Amino acid sequence: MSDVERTDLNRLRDIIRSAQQQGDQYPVDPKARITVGSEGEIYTGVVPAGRPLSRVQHGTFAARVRVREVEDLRWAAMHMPRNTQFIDHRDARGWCYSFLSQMGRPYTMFAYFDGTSYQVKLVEPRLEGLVGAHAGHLYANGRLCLSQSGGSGQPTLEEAYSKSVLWATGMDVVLAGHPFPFSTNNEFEYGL
Amino acid sequence: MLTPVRVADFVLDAIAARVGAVEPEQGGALLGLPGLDYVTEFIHDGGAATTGTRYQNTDWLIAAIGAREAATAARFKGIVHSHPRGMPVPSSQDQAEYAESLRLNPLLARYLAPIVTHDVDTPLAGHEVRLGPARISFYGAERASDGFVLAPVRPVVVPVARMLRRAGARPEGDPAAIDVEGTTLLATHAQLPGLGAVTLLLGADFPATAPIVLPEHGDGPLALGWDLGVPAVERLAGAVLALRRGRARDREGRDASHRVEAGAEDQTATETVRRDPAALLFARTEGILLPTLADRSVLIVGAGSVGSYLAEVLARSGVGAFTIVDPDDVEAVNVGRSAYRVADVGLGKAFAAAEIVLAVNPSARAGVHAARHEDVDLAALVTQADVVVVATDDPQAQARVGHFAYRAGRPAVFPGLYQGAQGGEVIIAAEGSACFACATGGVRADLQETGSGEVAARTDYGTGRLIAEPGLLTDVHHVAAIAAKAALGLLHSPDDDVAAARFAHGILKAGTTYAVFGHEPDYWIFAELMRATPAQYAYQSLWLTVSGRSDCPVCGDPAGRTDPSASQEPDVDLIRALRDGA
Ligand SMILES: [Zn+2]
Ligand SMILES: [Zn+2]
Repeated sequence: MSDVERTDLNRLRDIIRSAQQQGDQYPVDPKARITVGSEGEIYTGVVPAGRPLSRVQHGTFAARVRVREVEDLRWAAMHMPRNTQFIDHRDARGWCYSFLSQMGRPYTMFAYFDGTSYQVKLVEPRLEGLVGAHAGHLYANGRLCLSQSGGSGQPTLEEAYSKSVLWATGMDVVLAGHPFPFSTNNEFEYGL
Repeated sequence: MLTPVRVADFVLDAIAARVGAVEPEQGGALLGLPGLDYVTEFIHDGGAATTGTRYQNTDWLIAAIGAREAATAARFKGIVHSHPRGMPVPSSQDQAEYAESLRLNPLLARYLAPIVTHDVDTPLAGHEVRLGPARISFYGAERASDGFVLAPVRPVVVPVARMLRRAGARPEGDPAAIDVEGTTLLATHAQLPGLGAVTLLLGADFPATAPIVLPEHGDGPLALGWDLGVPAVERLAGAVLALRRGRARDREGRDASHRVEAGAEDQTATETVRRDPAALLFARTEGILLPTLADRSVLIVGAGSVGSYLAEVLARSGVGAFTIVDPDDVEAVNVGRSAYRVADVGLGKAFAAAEIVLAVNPSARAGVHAARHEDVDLAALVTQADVVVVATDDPQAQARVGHFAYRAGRPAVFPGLYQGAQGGEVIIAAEGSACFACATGGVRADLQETGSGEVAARTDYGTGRLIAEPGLLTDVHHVAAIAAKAALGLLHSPDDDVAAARFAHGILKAGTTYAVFGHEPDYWIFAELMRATPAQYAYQSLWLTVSGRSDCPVCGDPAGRTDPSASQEPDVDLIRALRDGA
């Protein structure tokens, strides 16, 4: 891990807050950017070469929509955790995946296309209805609130997956009794 | 399945006003129709010595109950009282009192014991209703072999006061229980529009069955048509209106010869309004709007400050049919910025907006859905509408309703306010133009990238809803008025030779479907763009060209478009089951 900074929570928070304050969803400068690996690991700074990485949408805004399930399947096989399983059911069609958060807590998620954007539901741990929508960015029906637009979704599977990893680390913090660290909308709760 | 208990809405109103509006604890007695689980009366025990955590009824209340029972047919049903926040359940002390009451009242089969709290932020369960500042949690105590059992019961709210109000009736006080030849009915005196003073008698099955309406000057009850296909709240209003129209037609037949002699210009405005209320709505819009609007239908999703205004403006402009969807109730804080009045507080916004429409034009049709966008058949509603107005503050609803409208080929108008209503936007989406998602995605992202900063209203990242911000009603209306003009134009066909049609269809033709507005001097991009133009102050607009993306599932290449009906939200328990089964 020589040239790779592995996550420091305060650093993650600072990067997200500054990106959101500057309205920059995809910072170019590596120092101002977060990247997610294929097993749910989060990188800041210079990212390791030769590994599948997912870019994170840093803002609270989604701009593009695309629907390419075949491409998505190929992409998921490359970039999402090895345990990812495509569920093909009439009432639930999408990708189920598990990873360990930065604090070592296991999370299982389900990413799916809702007709216009990609949404993610929290499968484990069972927190739906227990953590408030504002405090935890988790709706009572288990859906994560990943953005301000696109009906809380993200335009691509890549952005939905990577943002769900970031969300899990934010939820670690909430479960430890603190405010959600990765949204300027929670800022007043820090008394900043 | 919880046992249902019928409760008249005016009783809940009284409980909310007396018990719910103050800090714990307060209480009072519930009375209702004998032999039935039906609550029709509340007596507030205002003089009780209460503390923050304790309510003990007074001897006065016992006497008042006795007096009521002697004077009317109402019978004691139980005691309602309030609890501190976070305790919407009877305490053990309460339960001891229920047992004692059941022992003392051998005729009482079920002792009703609602608990009022101020917990209004958590979801309601099946035994709870929310009214204004209060949550009312219903419980019933019944005798059992080993004492008594206490269980939640399900309140079924009977919309008596709301139906009367909707019908324009002005009752003299709340209906009271009276005995008529062995049957207990609720009776009230009221003024009904066009029919004068009447006595209304409501049976225990009301509103499934029609009320008896006895005119104070007349012979016998009026025959009301009673349409069970009409939502309960609109049933009495519809019946009274139909009766009045029938009478007007009769009178018109009798007066026909006289009218022909006198000439049409002799008709007074009042008579015209009475016969055909919609006729005068077009008196001042010749060349701008066509009277064909009376046959057009608009779907309004979201009836807040923008939606209630749109409903009123479109009604005054002569639009004939409305469907209004909003899950929320009017709150006191809404009065300052919406079309609602204090009398509407507590009423569903969709109902209150429909009342405004019908107050302007009694011959309009108004469909009401007090529901969230997920809980209505959007595919059907957009198909029935000629134009869709998306005035909700929920971005998920905007995107979803926009998807359904685009799919059904119905033009949609999306008014939106920016932070503090300092500016706003109106987006129009119709076949051939960019959809809402493409329009907002493209424009908002571009404006952000060009360093113009983020001006779009902030949404709460947690709830996804727009953050309610301070903002001037006139600024809200400035944007809403443009949306209304666009909607009126789109309710015409492109070749209708009137100004509104030229305005709206011109926007589509030019492709400038994303309009942004600034209300303040030097606001946002306007300061930069208009710097060189003399006499710039405030209230500028820009009409932007937006394009859809070819891979957009809503407006892109037709082969790649998705059906919004096909994608339902997967249930998390289903995902768990599928994963465990795999
Ligand atoms: Zn109590
Ligand atoms: Zn589109």
